[in-house]
Amino acid sequence: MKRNILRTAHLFFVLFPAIGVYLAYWQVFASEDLMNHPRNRRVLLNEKRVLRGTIFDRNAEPLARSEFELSGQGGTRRQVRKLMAPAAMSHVTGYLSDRYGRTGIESKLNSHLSGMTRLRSWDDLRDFLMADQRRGHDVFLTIDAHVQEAAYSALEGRRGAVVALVPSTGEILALTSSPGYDVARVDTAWETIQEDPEEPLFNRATSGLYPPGSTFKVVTAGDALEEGIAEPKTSFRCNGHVNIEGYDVRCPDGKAHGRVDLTQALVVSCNVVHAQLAVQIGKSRYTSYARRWGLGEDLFGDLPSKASSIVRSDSNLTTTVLAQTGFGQGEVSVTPLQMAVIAATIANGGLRMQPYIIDRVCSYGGERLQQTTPKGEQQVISPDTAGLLAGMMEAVVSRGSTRGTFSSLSFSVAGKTGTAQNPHGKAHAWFIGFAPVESPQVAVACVIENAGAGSKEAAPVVRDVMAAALAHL
Amino acid sequence: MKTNAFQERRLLLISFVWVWGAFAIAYWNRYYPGSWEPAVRAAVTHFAIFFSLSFLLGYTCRQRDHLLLPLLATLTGIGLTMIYDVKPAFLSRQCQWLVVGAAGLWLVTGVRDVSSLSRFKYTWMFLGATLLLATSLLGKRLGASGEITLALQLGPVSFQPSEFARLFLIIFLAGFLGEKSRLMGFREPTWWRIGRQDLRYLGPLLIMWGISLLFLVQQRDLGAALLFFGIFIGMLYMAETRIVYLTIGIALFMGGAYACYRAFGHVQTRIDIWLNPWQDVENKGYQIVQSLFALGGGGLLGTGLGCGYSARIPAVHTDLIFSAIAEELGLAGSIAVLALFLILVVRGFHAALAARNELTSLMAAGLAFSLGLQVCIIIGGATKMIPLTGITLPFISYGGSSLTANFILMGLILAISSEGSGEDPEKVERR
Repeated sequence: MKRNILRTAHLFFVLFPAIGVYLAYWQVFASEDLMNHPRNRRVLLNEKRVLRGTIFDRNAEPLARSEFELSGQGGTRRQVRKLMAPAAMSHVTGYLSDRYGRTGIESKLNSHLSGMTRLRSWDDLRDFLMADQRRGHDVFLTIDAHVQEAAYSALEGRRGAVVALVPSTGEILALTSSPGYDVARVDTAWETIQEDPEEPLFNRATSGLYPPGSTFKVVTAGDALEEGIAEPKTSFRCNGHVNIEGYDVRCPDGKAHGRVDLTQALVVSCNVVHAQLAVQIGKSRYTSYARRWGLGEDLFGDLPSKASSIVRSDSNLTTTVLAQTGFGQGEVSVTPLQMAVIAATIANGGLRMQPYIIDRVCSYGGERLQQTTPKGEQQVISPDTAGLLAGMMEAVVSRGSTRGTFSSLSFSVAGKTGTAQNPHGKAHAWFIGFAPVESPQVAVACVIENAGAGSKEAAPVVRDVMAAALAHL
Repeated sequence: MKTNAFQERRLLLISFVWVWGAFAIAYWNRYYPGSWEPAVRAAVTHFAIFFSLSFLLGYTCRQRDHLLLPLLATLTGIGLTMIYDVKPAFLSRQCQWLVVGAAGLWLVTGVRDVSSLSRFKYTWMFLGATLLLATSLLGKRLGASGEITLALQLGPVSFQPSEFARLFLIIFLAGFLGEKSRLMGFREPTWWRIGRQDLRYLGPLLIMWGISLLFLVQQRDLGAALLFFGIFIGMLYMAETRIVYLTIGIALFMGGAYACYRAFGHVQTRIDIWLNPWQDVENKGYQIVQSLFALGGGGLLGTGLGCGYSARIPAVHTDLIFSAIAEELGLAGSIAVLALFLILVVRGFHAALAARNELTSLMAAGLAFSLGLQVCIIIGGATKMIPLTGITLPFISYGGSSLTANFILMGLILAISSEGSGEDPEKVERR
């Protein structure tokens, strides 16, 4: 009898370890798959327990920050996201919704903000051991809330976008798309927001593709200077129109500018001169320069964005299209961010910097977990060429149609207007520029859809943005 | 043997410190603020019960295995902590049951000679069968369509007779098989031949077996049915009866299991869920999938006491409390609990091997086997090793009947361990 009892006892030395193997399988080897199973709410619930990190602007002003609030009769704690400027910041911070997901920085840096990252700080470890309230990591953006709000209010709800950069680093001071939407109302007013014909959810600043119009002439002029085809003083003749391979390039209203040098051609925004310059540079050189300016590549890693291009992907650059590209029409389509990068590159001595919006990620105790360093992408044109081009753009502002617009500012501004013809109605109003000319601290691009003349509509917006960015001067 | 009692109290102290710490952490970590009073009350009750048991057992079974009580205290403590964690409302009730269980344990150890219980083996058989019959006839209707009858209502308390019927069954089997096993081994003309004596012998066994299983299947208490089946086979084997009985037993088990599978839709459903719970995650497979999610959520070291999400699992405080432990204490904790159970079972078998006569030996072995099998069935179910059935995890799950019955079970093992290792009572009397 005892023999069989002993044998039966041994059975448990097999059964229990077998269960142990099953446990090890589910708890360790299959753990990740189980956690990622769509029906498993643990990851989501974990996120809600961790106090979500704060999104700060460059001056450590909180743009979005979470608080616990007691709600309901049971006194259950619920996290509430407090937003500084729900509409103006809507395309930067993005929204955060259980039902509709998340966008913007809330999405891009979700793992940090929610504290669900593997990269754990000492603060996380201490909280884990001490069982303190865990907090997500804080994100510091390059955005300046004042500049952002100045841009948003200057757009006055019109469809458009403003991007402001620090030329020497590529830091984004403002990334505004208008109209915005109230981030806090996404859950309650989703239908209204989504079906709004003005498309408030669409980030025009990074993903809106527009013909750049005359603002693109700075690219053509810069390429021509760099190639040695022309100098600012080189003289041209404008008859109001020119025939290029059977296509008639015309200046607005067929007005002849007469004998102009290159600077004056930019000041009066002469299509004929720039079309001829583009053709003279040639298809392959012009395309290669465009690539150097950043067209054809996704400039921006921090938020979803579109690449600009000088030619539609399904067609080849013909000479007539090239001539139109020379003055910003044809098939060229650009994002406001791309135009801001072009302005910033000229301001930065021809060195194109990678634009960025995430400056650093810190644990709430201040431990730095991630830091972006400015990165020079490409020397597009030589510093000398950039200096000459900057001088020409300064002349555009001091002598051209926007003379009055910027006269109130205490610093000098270089810029270029654009009034881009498009098949959707009135022309898009453009302005790109930077200031102060001597030591540029801000480069701005602005587009307003179907608003008309750039000098009248877009330039005042840029002025307000520059004034806000350089308020300390 | 003062040192042994001293060692026991020292181990108990370690267990108390562990339980107090666990309560403190569980309270501290609670995401939703809750009251600390039930935790303190439970910790104090736990301490008082086991500390006084350690003294009181000195009167009834001095020579007991001194490892058993600390093991019991630790497992019970883990149970209380987890109930505080997942269903705090049930904590004070469980503490009351703990008092009842401890009293039952002590009373059982007071039985002078455990083998004397076997004298009334047919009484136990009758009691067990009656309990199961009463449950089938008068049981409370549970479950979605009221087809499950597990509990009997007695005044203000409802209790689960199958927990106690199991004990009666083991005592009956030990008495029946322990007495006659020697007789059986002798004449074996051909191993498979069955004569008249065999039928006389097998008769009561088969009747008892048939009755209990019929009722359990009718009550849809599949976990208990599996447990009863296992106890029958296990005890037949351990009693070293004729191999043909064992063969008949296993054949009947196979046949019965297949018949149940074909005849009852709910048995088929259980098997289908077990084979692929992912097909119907939100309905039929919900419970097992939630259990697996909890296991996965625990990982290696767990979320920490009070930080899990297992409170959402249906029946987490009874059937699936192990999943909650695995989530909050991780693989480290779940393996540790498994190891505690293994040690407890092994000590039970140790008592069986050391027991002085065959009756108590077989009884202790049956009790230890039943304990081990129950742990395997429910944890095996929670880990999808076998189909999930609704039985409790001894000492840990919430439930008065389970707690009381298992405490009585431990009382019997304690008493047998004391008899086996102690001096011969006859010698004591002669002195």
